[in-house]
Amino acid sequence: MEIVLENLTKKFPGRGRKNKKEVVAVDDFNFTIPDGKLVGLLGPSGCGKSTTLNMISGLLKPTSGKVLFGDKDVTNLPPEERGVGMVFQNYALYPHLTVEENIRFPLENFTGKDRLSKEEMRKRVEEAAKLVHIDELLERKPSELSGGQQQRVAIARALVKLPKVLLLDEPLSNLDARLRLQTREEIRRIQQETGITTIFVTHDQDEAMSISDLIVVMKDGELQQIDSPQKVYDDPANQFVAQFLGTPPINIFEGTIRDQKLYINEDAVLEASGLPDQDVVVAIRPEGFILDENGRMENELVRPEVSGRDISILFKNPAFKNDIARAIISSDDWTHIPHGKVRFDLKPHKVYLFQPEDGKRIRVDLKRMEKE
Amino acid sequence: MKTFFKKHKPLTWFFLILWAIIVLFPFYWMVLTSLKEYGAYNAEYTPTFFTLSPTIENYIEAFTAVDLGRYLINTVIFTVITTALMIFVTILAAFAFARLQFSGKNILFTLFLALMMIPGELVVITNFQTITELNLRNTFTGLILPSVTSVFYIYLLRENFAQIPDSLYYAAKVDGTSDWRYLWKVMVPICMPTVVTITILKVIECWNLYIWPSLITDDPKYFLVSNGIQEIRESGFGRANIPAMMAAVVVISIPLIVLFLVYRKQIMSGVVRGGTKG
Amino acid sequence: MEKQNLKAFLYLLPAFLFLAVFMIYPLIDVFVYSVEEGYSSASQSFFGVGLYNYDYVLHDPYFSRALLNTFILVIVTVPLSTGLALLIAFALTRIEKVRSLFQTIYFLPYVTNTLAVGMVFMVLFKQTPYSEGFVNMLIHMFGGQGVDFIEGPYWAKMFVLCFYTIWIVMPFKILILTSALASVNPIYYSAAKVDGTRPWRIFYKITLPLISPSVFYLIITGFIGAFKAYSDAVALFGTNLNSAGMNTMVGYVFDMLYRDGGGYPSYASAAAIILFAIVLTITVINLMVSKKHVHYS
Repeated sequence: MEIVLENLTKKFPGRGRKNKKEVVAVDDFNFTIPDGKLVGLLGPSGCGKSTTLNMISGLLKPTSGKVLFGDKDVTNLPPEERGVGMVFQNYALYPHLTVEENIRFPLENFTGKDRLSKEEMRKRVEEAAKLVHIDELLERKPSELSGGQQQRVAIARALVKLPKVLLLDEPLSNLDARLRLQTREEIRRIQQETGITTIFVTHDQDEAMSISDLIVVMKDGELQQIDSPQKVYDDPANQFVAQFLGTPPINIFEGTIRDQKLYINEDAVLEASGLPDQDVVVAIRPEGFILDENGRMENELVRPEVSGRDISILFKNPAFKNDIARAIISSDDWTHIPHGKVRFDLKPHKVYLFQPEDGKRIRVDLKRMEKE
Repeated sequence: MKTFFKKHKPLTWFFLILWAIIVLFPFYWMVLTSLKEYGAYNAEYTPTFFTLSPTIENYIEAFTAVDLGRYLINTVIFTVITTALMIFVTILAAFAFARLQFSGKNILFTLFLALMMIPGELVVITNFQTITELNLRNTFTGLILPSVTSVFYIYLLRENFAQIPDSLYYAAKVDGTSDWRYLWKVMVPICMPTVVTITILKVIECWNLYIWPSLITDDPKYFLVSNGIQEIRESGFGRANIPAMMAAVVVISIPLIVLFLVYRKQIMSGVVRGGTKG
Repeated sequence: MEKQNLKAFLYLLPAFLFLAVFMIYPLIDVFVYSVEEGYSSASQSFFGVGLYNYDYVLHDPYFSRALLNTFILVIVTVPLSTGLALLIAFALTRIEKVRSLFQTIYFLPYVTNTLAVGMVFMVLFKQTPYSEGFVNMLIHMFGGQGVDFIEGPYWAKMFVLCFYTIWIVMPFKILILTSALASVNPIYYSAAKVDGTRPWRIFYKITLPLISPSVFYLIITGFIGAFKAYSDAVALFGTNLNSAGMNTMVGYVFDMLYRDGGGYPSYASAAAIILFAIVLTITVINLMVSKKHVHYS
């Protein structure tokens, strides 16, 4: 099922007695989620991603705009008529019901011609339980399950009514680090086995990057970028996206364009043909540095940080906005450098330019400088 | 049921307001009646809902014709002493159970909890005999002593004391603080909200106590408000002077209502944590 | 940590002195009294040991009347007040404005003196040749036949006793249920809504099980409290409850002990023990039922 959001907007009345100003949680969203994909809604907390999810589920009514499932406008339909399955952040398993009763619960809500016989219900529950590998646990109560098992039960409960869309709200945030890795693979597998259009909300970029077909990056209720994970990383639409994705984070320098060259702190580092003279924000991925004793960018070495496979070189540069910048190079390229200066050349495709005033991307074909 | 109320919002309001009226109406009626003149009240065959000539003569009557003032003072004395003693005894016992190490602590505490299930009505009989034999009827001592201990409040405070981290105690020990000082300077201040809650609940309980004072006093000099008002009803003004009776009822009710309005949050949360009426 | 036996003993001493004299000793003593036949307060002597006191009490018509009254009171007030409190607590969750005002009002009866306010109810329900009283005025307004609820027929007196008892116990129940309802995580309602659960089913299958510990707590304490009813009856009908035919079991105990027919601690003890045997049995049954139906998290 393809999902289309058209001019979707949600405003909440201001809280507090003095400040009656409306809060715009979601601001004029337009995007299309293709059928059968796994989509991650990514952004820092308070960016409106859960609000968006709740408008898709029908738990919240949009202030304006439309939600379409395929060709059907579902904006004014209550959740139960949309055919969505939902997994909540704390799973929301009914504590007084067994796993089996929890999974069966949605089926018992069917009325009229949709009503299922006991036998059919049992079969459906079993299938859902098998799909998420919890068919051994049907007799237990939620309190007797581990966090990962509870998560699976919640997914089974969402899937048992064969929804057209599966929604997951921060599905991994309550699990410990190891389970998180396991469970996200599990979500990927289940999604691929069922082929259900699935949308999940997360604030964790790793999570979103690793399993999504498509990432929707949001900030302050505004859509930043929709693309495949690799594209979002390699070709960020703006400074926020560049900074939000990637660990360790991208390095941000102040730079200038002069005579069609990019300068960082008086060093001409790259050719920027076709750009007028201006101040720019230069963002360089940690892996965008090439250690070279004749490199064009001069910095002050703080110390190298060894982690086996890679080496991080921590350095200072007057144009760097924070305290210490980080370059990552393969340990093969490492040669001992004396205290004092360290010089780099830059990989052009790992360097992005943004406008200082609004963080918008300046699209330009950067090139390495000709050897003198 | 939830959407029943949602779909029928007016019905919800009607229902809530109706119950509010049922709760408030007796209060309105007692104030109203207490302001009516004796003669005017008795002349009404059908009661009227307001009075155009309010009078305070009933209040004067209530304080002069019967000993209402004495009942009030007695109740204040009784309430203050009983509550103070109870708090002192409770704090000491709760401290021992929460903080000190001694042989048989667990068994003792379990037995202690079992005492919570003993209904007061069972032990009143012997207490009545004990106090009578000790010639303590019609004395404050006789009124107060059996009302002092409350197993439940000791339990409540002990639970609160037990939540204070051990590290605080060890830190105080390192600084050479005695247990006694630690209890009063650290534990009690930290658990002040619970102490206040217990105090208020006990005050309410004391103020409304009826059975024990009605058994142990037959001399009106020692009556508390509950048996005092009963006395007023049965032989005070004569049965017919209802306005004066209502004035007495208003006077008796006001202190607790004021206390409640001031400490609304503490009282309600205290009751949720374990109060029952009676 | 070394033992602090002496110190602990000193800290516990006041509490244990009070408990020993006024709780533990009396608890044992009440059983002793109940089997001492022909005990006289005046001479403090008795002439036999046996179950005669129980036999006497069980055959005393006043006791049967008190037992009947108490049972009616329990059966009427416990389900009615619990159900009504549930309804009110639910209604309170449906509104936001002035909710705390309503909660404050509803709590007022908790802090009132049972005896004092009971007198107001007496005035409201009373009918004399000179004054019809408020309630009878209402009845007449709707064309009904007036009745004196305080000294009139038995059913009328029972009605006003039940009414006042419910009025008195409602604050506690509303408060407990309101806080139980507030503690239900709203995410369960969202989950149920996504699954298209009908409102009645949400209430029956989710809300009620989740607050069931509180409901059963109220039922159990409600039974115990109603069995111990006394001061509300005194407030309405005066101290001579036997002649009004409105005595309760606790009232019977105290009348035996002290009031007009008093001076019989043995009969009082036997009656008290019978009462608490009944209360204990019913509480145990309640607990067994609740084990089956209550979800404890």
